[in-house]
Amino acid sequence: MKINHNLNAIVANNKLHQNEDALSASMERLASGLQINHAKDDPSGLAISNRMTTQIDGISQASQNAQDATSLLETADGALNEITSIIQRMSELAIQAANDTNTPTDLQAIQKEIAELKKEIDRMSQDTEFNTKGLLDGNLDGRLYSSKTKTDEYNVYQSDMTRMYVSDYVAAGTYAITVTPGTQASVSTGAATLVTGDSATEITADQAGTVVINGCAVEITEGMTYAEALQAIQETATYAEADMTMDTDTGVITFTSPNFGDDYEVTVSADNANLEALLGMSGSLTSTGTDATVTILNGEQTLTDGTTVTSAFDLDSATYSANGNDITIRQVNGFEISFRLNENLDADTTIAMEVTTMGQLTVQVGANENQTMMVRIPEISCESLYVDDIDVSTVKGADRAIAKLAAALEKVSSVRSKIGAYENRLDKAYASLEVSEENLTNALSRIQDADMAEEMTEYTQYNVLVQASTSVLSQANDLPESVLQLLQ
Amino acid sequence: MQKEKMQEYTRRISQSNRTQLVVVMFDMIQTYLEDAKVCYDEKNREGFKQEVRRADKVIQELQDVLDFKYDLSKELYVLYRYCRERLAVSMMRFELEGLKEAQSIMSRIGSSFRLLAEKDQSEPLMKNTETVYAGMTYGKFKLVENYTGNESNRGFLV
Repeated sequence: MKINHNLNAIVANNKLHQNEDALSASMERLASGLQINHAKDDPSGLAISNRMTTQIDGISQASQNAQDATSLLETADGALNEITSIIQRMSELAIQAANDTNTPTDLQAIQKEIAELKKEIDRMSQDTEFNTKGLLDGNLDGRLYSSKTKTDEYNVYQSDMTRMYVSDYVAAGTYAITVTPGTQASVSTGAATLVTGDSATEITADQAGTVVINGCAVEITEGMTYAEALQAIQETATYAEADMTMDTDTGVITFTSPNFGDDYEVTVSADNANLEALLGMSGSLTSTGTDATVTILNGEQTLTDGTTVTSAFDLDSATYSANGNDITIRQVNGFEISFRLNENLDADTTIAMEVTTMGQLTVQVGANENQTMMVRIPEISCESLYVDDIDVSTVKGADRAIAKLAAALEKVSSVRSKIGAYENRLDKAYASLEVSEENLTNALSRIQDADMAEEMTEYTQYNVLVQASTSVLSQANDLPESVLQLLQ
Repeated sequence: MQKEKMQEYTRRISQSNRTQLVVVMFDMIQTYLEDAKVCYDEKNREGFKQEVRRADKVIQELQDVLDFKYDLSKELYVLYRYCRERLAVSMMRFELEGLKEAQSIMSRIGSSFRLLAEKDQSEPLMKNTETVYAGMTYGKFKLVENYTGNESNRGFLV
């Protein structure tokens, strides 16, 4: 009995029914035994599709590259335009909040809207992409690496620096510094009966008075229970940028500023000695935060974690400024490095940042080897813009927010102008490529808007029909497997 | 894409000649964009992005196989790139305006290729595939598809 069997076809048919991506693309082509239809005979058996012939002309591919890069940059710029509007809206809200006629409830309502706008910025940062490449999430920026140190509190290696940013004029290399982190303003009372006593105990007449925290007054009245008094103090403390925590064992109350640096202070006082005693205080308490201190290093250095590096700072021109733990180091000619220091580091820790150019987008704009253009777009998000901790519901929050938002707007604008400069260079590259190609007409120019698209579509629809066989030749795909892979 | 849709497309691809394959790709774009619209209505951001990406990949494939020896490729190329930009904006803003524009443009070009496909009688690209016969057997309104070819293994472990 002769068994008629077409093994290849069975395998092929099973593959068609399975519809899975279990095998990788190349294995699929080899193992499935599907025959590929060629425009010309190819003895090697490998498929050469039409796409190869379009690449033979290096110049027209370079033209496409320049135009594709322009599309990418336009998408990024579109998103940045939206983000600019959002920041401007946040500024309006902050200015409204800075008005003294607002009640705490008003401020909280404004802060809610700001919180939603912050989320929108971060969403755009994540969702803006072109050709599956993230554009605003740091994906198109050169990679920056921070040294890591073990800190006692967590006993794991943590990055010494976050929110790292370098300007275009920072050469690749390692940059080391010795740092002492800044501190928050913080005061603590002694053992406070208000905490350790029975929470239902009432305040007596001779204990009633006013507690003032950072200039904000809270009335402690006769008849309030200890619990109510503590709550009133805590609410005012939060508003006054002196977050309150209590240790229920020792009765110690601690007031701490929400952020680091000498812009923050905590002052707590009470106008009644009995009230002071209840709070475990004997006189007013005051504290101011400190900014981080930085020593810039050059040459061979050993970091606190043991590694040795060669630091590339130029000691003759490097200067730093510190706002809490937010540090900016500048040198001549536009060199700028900024980051936020890990607040848990010990004093005098030596750390380093490694700057690389890996990850930047390289656009091939000519047919030959070194005709490339490097494009970098830094991360644009609430964190990298330092607007993530904006809180207009505190006493000075609105003023601080206005300043931070102005800085954020400046940064976004500078990125947009850089993108504009890149696009100008690409336009020039494209124009020169066009001149050198004899057959290309202006047909590869970019469609700018919907009206132009409408015109183009109508024209092309008609052309496709009229040119019939040529249309098929210009678009046809000889590789059905590549289409199968697109089924997901 | 739903499983049945995928199977339908697989079958079409296995039977397609070169013009029909182009039409299949345009149809796939429509399917993905419709799926994206569904995700948008369900406020499913991640799903929306995924479907838009899939549609974008198909347009990219159309872009990649263009043969620039012919002028028409340039016209098609600029339209594809514009559509991809509109899709990117739609994804970034999480709205449908850009998507609908891209969908309309691709649908119109697709319909031109569909008319061409009706006239193209050439052989399917994939060889050794099964032959599909469709007929109204076993019921008036029931379309039964019958596959001939070596699908069954007749007891042999292959």
